[in-house]
Amino acid sequence: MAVLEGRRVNQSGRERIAGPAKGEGLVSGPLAEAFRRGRERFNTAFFISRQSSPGLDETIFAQHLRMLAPVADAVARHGPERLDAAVATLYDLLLDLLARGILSDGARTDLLRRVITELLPSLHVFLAEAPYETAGKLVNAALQIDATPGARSKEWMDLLAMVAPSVSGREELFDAGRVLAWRCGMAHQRTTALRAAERLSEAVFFPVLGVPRAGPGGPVSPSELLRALAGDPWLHPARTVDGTAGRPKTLRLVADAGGFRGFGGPFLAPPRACVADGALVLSDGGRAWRMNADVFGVVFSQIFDDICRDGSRGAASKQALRDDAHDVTVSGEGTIAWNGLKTRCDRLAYPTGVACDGTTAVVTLRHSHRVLVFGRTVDLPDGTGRAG
Amino acid sequence: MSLKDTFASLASVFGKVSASPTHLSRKTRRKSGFDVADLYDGPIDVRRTGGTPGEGEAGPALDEKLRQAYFWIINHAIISPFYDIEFNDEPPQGFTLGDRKSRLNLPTDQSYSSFVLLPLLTLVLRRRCLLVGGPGRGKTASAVLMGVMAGYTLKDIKRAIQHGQPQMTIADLLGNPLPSSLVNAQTMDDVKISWRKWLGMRVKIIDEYNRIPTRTQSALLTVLADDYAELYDQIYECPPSAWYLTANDDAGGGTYQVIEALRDRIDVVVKALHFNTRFLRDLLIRIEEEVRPEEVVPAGLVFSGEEIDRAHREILAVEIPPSLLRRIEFFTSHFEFCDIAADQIEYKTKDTVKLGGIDWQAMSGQDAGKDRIRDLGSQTRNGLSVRAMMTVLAYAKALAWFRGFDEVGFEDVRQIMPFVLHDKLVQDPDSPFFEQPGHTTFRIDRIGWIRKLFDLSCQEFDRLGLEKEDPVADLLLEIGKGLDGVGEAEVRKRLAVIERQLGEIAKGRKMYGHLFDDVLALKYMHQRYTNYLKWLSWKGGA
Repeated sequence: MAVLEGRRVNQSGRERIAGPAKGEGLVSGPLAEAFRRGRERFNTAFFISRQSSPGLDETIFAQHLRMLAPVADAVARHGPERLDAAVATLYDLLLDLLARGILSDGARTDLLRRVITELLPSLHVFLAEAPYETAGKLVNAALQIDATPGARSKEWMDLLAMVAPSVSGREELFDAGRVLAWRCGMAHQRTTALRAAERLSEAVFFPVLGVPRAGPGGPVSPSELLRALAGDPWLHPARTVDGTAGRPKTLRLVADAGGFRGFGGPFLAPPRACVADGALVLSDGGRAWRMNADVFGVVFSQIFDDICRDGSRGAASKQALRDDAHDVTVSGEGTIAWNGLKTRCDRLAYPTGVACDGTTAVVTLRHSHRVLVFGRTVDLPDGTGRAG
Repeated sequence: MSLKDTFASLASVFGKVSASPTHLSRKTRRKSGFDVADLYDGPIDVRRTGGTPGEGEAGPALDEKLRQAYFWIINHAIISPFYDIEFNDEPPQGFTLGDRKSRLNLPTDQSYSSFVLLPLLTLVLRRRCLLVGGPGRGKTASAVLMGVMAGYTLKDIKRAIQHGQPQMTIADLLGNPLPSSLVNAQTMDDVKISWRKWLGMRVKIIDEYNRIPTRTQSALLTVLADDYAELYDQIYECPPSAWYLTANDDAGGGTYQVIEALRDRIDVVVKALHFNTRFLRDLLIRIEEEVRPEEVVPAGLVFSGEEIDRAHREILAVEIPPSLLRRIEFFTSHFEFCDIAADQIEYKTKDTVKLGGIDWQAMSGQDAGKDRIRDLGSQTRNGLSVRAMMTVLAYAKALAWFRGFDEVGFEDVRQIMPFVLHDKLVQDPDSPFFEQPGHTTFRIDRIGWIRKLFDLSCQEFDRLGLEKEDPVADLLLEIGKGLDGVGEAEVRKRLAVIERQLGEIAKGRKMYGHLFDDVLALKYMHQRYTNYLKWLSWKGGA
């Protein structure tokens, strides 16, 4: 029995599935041609997927399939011989996402729709080369960025589409994606992004970091720029163009982050801070988070070994709190001193603790679920970030 | 039945890749502490589909991937609802069935079907697997699936199958000289050969190998054993490959007798078990839905050449604990010794009898004076070759790796041994052992027989207390440290220990296989110490 005619019932009374057949009716052009050529294969894939996901709805899937039209058009224009493989891959990917319920979730559906209809067509060259790897990695990345509080997936997609024509291959594309993800708020990707940036060509390097090619003080080389960024997490790449040599460091409030879980933050109680294995860790007595903070954002990642779990939240204090390892002192009078630098901050009332990893100091407060983040940086002050 | 119910019931037949982890082994631990997920990690597993691992991405866990492949085959491709490779982490519940008191155990740990597992292990070990069983039991289908798992298209793998038939020539198997080069050639070097494509593949399938004429079998042997083909003085080097050979009847029922060298090169023998009629409905669904599983193998289960190489390296790194290795040594020592084969101790082997062309039955009848039921060596007509022992070790490692362990366990060896030694140990059906109550079936059931042999060997090992006290092993350990700096007095002391040990064995009067190997090992050590002592004396005198 053919499976090309929508729903039919075979002799054993089972309903036949014709997801692609339905999808075919809703699309035209190269996508419809590809569906026609691979009809049996597409039907089998849908059939098998539906065995393990009986709730898979062919009508919904057929609607989602329409998303593939722009990318199929783009691939067909530039490499028609790769169209069938690309469509088959994207078909399987959509099927997989729908079967797992990822495509049924409203917010994520919109995100994935943007990835598939806006981002992927601009990457048709890479998609034609390695469809599963390209589409799979970009879908994964978009989902991760979207799931990170404060990170901006839409901006990431726009920027990636913008730099795509300059990249020389898939690996450079993925490296550019890493750097852009960091720039779009994935502060925990900082180390990976800096390593990825080292591998980028100059034509890609400067645009992904948002750095004008030449500033008033002359062009800065990628290695100089990376050196400056590696040493100062609070330095914005765009402000390195005219050089940072000789610019004095200042101690500034660079971010306030965190918040009550009921309002979207991570903490159930005002947290305490400590440094474990060189990383800043915050704990509310029940759970612990590693805090990754830099100029692009603050990200809290839950950790399972609750290093700071001591049950106490500490008494409020107006006395100075100190981190001896890095010579940081917080006073209850609203000042923080760090290795010769000092600044006043009105929000420093009732501090309960300070922890410093060498580049960033975090101060916890008695009456707040948010924490104050201070940095010693050569960056120019332009306000305090609010993240997490 | 509603549509939903229908699909729910079908889920037992077809479906998707099993979720990880497929086996909670010692290597699988709960992730603790902080971990920054790579940007490109997520629900779409690009690493298992040929995507290149990037910054921060670990390579795929290949043992997990192979387990997923196993479960995919079991669940969707080959209807093999058997668990003949049993593992237990606590005592299993057992039932005794029928007049013959057959034992059925319900395994308490993840157990496997040999028909699917062993071809998969062969794929990553790149060895040779013989699938035997009646027609239509999925032998060739299983081999084809292995080809697809190795990354070949169905079309390529089907074209590459060598179908054994009585008219098969060497040219059919290996290739042909190009006619133009043959006519114009001044020397053999000028002849150009058009080699058959299958020779360059990483999975090689020989269907019904016992229907290949003897001469062509010899050409096949060179490819199978030495990874090269030769025609007109031209050599084709084949890549390391996994071989799958099939035979409807491996007991001489093929068109041609399989040459012994070829049989000896086969590493494991797997039986295609019968079709359980309770699963006929699954077949019906396949017919009605026109689903051919080999056409829809998930891309995530396909192994690249690099992954197979990596899996092979990981398998080799699996350790065999010394105490287990000693048990394997003890087991393999039973079979070669034949007291009446020669006068000189070194030649007292079954191989001497075979080379002498003497009738085995007549010879074995003379071997009186010892308990032939207790003597495990009496059950075989041959000993184990070095190749067989190496294969046991390799497959035991592969099984432990597949189960997610860094170290081979006792059950890994016990379960794998029968499949490796199936065609390696030639049974002597006239041994009194098989006349014992309950043992007659072992004349037919080689898997059960070899497993029984191993169990009996382990019982004997424990009875002799070799786990706790093994003087020969201690002496070998001592000499293994080297002789540099060992003084004359120490050497004399060790020689005395060896002589005393030989005296102890002599007191026992009866010689068994394991003692035969001990005696020869003691002689070897005695000779090395004697030579060393002479060298010390010469050095002192000079």
